[in-house]
Amino acid sequence: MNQKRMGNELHPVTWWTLALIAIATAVISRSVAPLLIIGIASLVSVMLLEKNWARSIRLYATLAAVVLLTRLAFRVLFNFASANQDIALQLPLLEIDLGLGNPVHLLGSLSYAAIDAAIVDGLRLAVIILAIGVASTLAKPSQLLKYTPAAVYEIATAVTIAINLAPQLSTSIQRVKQAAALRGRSHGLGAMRSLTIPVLEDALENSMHLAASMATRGFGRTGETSLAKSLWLRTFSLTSVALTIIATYLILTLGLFNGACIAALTLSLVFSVLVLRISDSQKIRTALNRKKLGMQDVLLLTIGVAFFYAVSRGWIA
Amino acid sequence: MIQLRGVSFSYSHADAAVLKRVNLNFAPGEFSLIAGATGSGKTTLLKAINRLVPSFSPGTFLGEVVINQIDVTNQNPQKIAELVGYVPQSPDESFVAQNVIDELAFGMEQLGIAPNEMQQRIESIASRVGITHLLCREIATLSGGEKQRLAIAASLVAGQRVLLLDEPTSSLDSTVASEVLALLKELSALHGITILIAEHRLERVLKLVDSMVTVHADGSVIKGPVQAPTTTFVPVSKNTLKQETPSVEIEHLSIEFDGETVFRDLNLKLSRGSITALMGPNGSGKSSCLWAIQGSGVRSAGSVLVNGIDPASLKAKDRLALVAKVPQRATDLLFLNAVSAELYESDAASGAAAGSTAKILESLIGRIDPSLHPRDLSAGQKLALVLASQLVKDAPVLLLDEPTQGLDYVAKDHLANQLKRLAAAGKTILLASHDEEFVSLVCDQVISLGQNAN
Repeated sequence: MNQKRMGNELHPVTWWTLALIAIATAVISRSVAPLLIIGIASLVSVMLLEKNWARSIRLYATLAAVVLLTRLAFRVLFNFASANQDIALQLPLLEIDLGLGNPVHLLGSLSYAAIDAAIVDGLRLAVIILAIGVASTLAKPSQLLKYTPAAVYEIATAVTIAINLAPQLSTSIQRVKQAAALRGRSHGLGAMRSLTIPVLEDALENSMHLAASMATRGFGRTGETSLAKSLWLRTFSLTSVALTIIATYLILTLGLFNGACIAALTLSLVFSVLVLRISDSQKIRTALNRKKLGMQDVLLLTIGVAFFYAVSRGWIA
Repeated sequence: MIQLRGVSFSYSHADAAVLKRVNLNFAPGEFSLIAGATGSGKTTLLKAINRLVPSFSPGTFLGEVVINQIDVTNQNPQKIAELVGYVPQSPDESFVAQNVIDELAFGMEQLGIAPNEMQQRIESIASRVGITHLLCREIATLSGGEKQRLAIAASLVAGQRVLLLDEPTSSLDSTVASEVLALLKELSALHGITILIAEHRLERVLKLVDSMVTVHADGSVIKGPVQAPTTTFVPVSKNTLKQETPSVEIEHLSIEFDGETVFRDLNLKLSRGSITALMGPNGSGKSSCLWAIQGSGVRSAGSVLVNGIDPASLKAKDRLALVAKVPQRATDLLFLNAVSAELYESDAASGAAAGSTAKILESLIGRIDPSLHPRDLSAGQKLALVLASQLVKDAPVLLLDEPTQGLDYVAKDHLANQLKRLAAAGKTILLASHDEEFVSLVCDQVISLGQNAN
């Protein structure tokens, strides 16, 4: 059984960076066109590169569709049309007085602008969901582990394993549900308890087993770090965090393109890189089949960044 | 190779010591069996060697552990990963990666072995353990035996000379189990790896091992020559109640999931008072078959009649009076914090008089302290408690899914006697199992699933 996929030709980091660019673009775009481009590009790439695309993307696609429709439905239901807009649909206005001051208005006349805004809003969320779905289908989160810097390796592993355990949780809920029906109480507080306690026990036990088995294989080893080195590490990481907070504050108050902001951001980046470098130099871990970024990765990333720039400038609308 | 000197351990939540002043010595390449009743401390002994005890199970540890002339008493499991390989009870819960290669590489990546050397070691261990053809597979697609081999390979791949296994064959059918055991024998005899294996099903292992260690309930551990344990099975006279009127009739039963056939056209008649075993390799549909008979599982074709009624046509609650079932993980049914609460809940849920379940439980296994937490019961007691809570509904048919998993000899004997008594009292019993010894001891007929796969 040869499971080589074309998606594997690209670096996993590329897929996730592209997904992040797609999300960033979706967030800043104010019209339908860029969102549609991202959505279609995501779907096409997963269709071309993954053999079982229908099965793997189904969950994300359904979720995206539900989000889009919910957003539209809410817009129709809770509608605040202003007077001077073209009206697309005239629905009866419902006035419900809940006795809490102003009455609540439901439905009413629906303007083109309102529908348009709702579609853009809904599509934005849908596209974000799709982008994550495509990235995790084409490059499993666990593949990223090899490329995480030593400083965050343990946390990254924990996150990946948690993601992998999610489907296990749903099978264990199913199993316990089926079993609980055998005891004969199918409703009320007892039923809730009969479901949650065995499932939680299961989840806890599984994670303890996994943790123990990983420990016996050497996970969580720490190299011999000198006291001075670990002091430097701690100082640098604290500085980096402090600078990030300052930079965020400045961005929120002064805006992004301000000298002080850029300086704080750059400094915090420099310190983070320093921290990662120092902790990487302990060199206690290796990785099998670690890939390097290739030409096609660079090309795709450049296209992604260019697209982001074009959308941010309003060239694609 | 391994030395334990004066090792004692007691868990912080219990007073009694699990291990008491244990002195053991294992030579390089020795293949040794750890025997003992369920809960006696076989797993604790193994974990004391690779230091999961006490670092993952808080408690008081005394004594010294020396592996390969290195005193590891004050080390944690991470630090001695290159010395000892460990295969926990169910490999499924211990896999870290999604595919075989990554799983094999994981340990070496943690130990910082250079990538080109990793590749070599993976190839050499794969050919030794016989999984070369599986290297590009996803773990989820492997069979039980293949998974066990992978777990063994993954714990030896970094060059460990000691291998500890906790009941490696408990979920395998006998052919696959003996293949895995033969592999272990080869690893110890040809490659000089010291292997300690904790097992319930001694008869498979006894002829292969060099020595045997028995863990007693009082915490003493004694190493001695290999000898078979004495079983205390009391034969129950063949029951006379067996009638020719079948109480369960299954016709043309087929099951498929997602368009894939699990089995097709099963025809089966179970007469009142009979005990029948459903056997077959993992994935042959034993569990699905039981659920289909019980009425809540899928059936793609065929009919099931229990005393002339199809359980699937009844409401979930009414089914319970017709068919009782103990699922594979019996503990899924236990969720209260005292045995007495479980007994009360069982009486209340089935509308039986107060104390009925307790009476059945006592007849099955004797008195159990009602204030105990169900989690603290032994595997056999847990099973008996669940069995009692199902029997109180007084269904004529009893289905059991892998009831012997995790039971030691004594508990299995108990269960065998319980089932025989229930059958003699007129219950129709169907059990899914891959425990041939137990089945041959208890069952009147055996149905094999899985021949018509593909």
